[in-house]
Amino acid sequence: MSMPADPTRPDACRALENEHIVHFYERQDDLADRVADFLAEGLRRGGPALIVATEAHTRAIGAALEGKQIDLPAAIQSGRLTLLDARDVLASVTTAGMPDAAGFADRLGGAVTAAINSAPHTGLRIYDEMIDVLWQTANAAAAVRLEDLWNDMADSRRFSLFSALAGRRDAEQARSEALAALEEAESAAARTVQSREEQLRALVHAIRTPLNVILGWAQMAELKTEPAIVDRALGAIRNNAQQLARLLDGLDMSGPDAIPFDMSRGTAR
Amino acid sequence: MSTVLIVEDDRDSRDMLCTWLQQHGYATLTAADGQEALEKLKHAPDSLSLILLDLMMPGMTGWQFRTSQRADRRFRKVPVVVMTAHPNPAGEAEWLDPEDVLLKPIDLQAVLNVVSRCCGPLSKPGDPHHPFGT
Repeated sequence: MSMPADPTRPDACRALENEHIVHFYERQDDLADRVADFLAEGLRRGGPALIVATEAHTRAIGAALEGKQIDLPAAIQSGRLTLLDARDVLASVTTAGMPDAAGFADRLGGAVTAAINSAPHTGLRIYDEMIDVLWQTANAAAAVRLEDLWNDMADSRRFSLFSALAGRRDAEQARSEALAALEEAESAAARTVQSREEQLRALVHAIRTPLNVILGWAQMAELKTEPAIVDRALGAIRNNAQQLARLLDGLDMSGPDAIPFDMSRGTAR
Repeated sequence: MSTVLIVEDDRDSRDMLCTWLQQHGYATLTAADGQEALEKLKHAPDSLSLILLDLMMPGMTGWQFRTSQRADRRFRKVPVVVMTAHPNPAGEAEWLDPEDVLLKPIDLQAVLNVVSRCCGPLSKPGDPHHPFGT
């Protein structure tokens, strides 16, 4: 399968049979319009089309096609337009992180053949976004492998393939995403710190309360007081010392993220 | 006889303060949280001389109780002594406007001093009103 010398050329819609067009896009609306141009050209001639795209992009491309006076329901109903979810297909053809030939042939071979047969005398146009999905997740090896599989399929079937890749991403979008990720990380860290502080405060409170009782009753018992009071003091001291011991026994010190204290119950877990 | 309302969620702590104050001639009432304390106040607003108030309690906290108490003219004048483990009691005191602040772990002699100061002269064992009698 040949690739155009200038993959970003504006006349991408004029695809030759068995041509693989790679379009680098920076804006989503630009992508949908380019893909719609490519597909509409074939659909208007009564040819079949296959879209393998993410749900959001499928909607955007569909809207762009309708804007180009393509009757989508009729095209779908007649079998000339087939829609597949890029992530679903990708998941079904991927084994251990790499697209495999058997899975690819099984999942896409039938769809491509059926699309070709729906209008055998005009060329099938395919828009595929799976390569872009892999590209955006920095899975370059899998993206290259997938491209090879498409090229292999083109050896036995006649179609034009349009692939889009997120090119130089808009600097502001990239910056915005990076900032959002940073803010989320900072927020998560702050929540963790706050949670730890709350746990520590609750733990200190749970230690201080029985300690307060022990010290208070001991202070009373030290005074020359009635035997009955001393007995109560000893009982309270014993009970609260046991409470402290249970608290310490229950502390989970097994790791840096261990939650040592169940605040809801006021006791160590 | 001066009556002190002890508002403290920990039963042993309440019992300890009751015993201590009764030993020194004070009558006591107890409440396990702010809501119960408000109920006690409603039933005996005139007989109470002082409230010893813990802050960290389940249900209605000491802060919430103090807010409600100060909003009710029937018992807003009953003085409050806050018992807290807060490392910055002065900051709390400013907002709660207590008569005094007792730091936890509580020193019983300090309790006695502040209660004595707020409630006036105390009865001694052997006095007719002393709960332990002679």
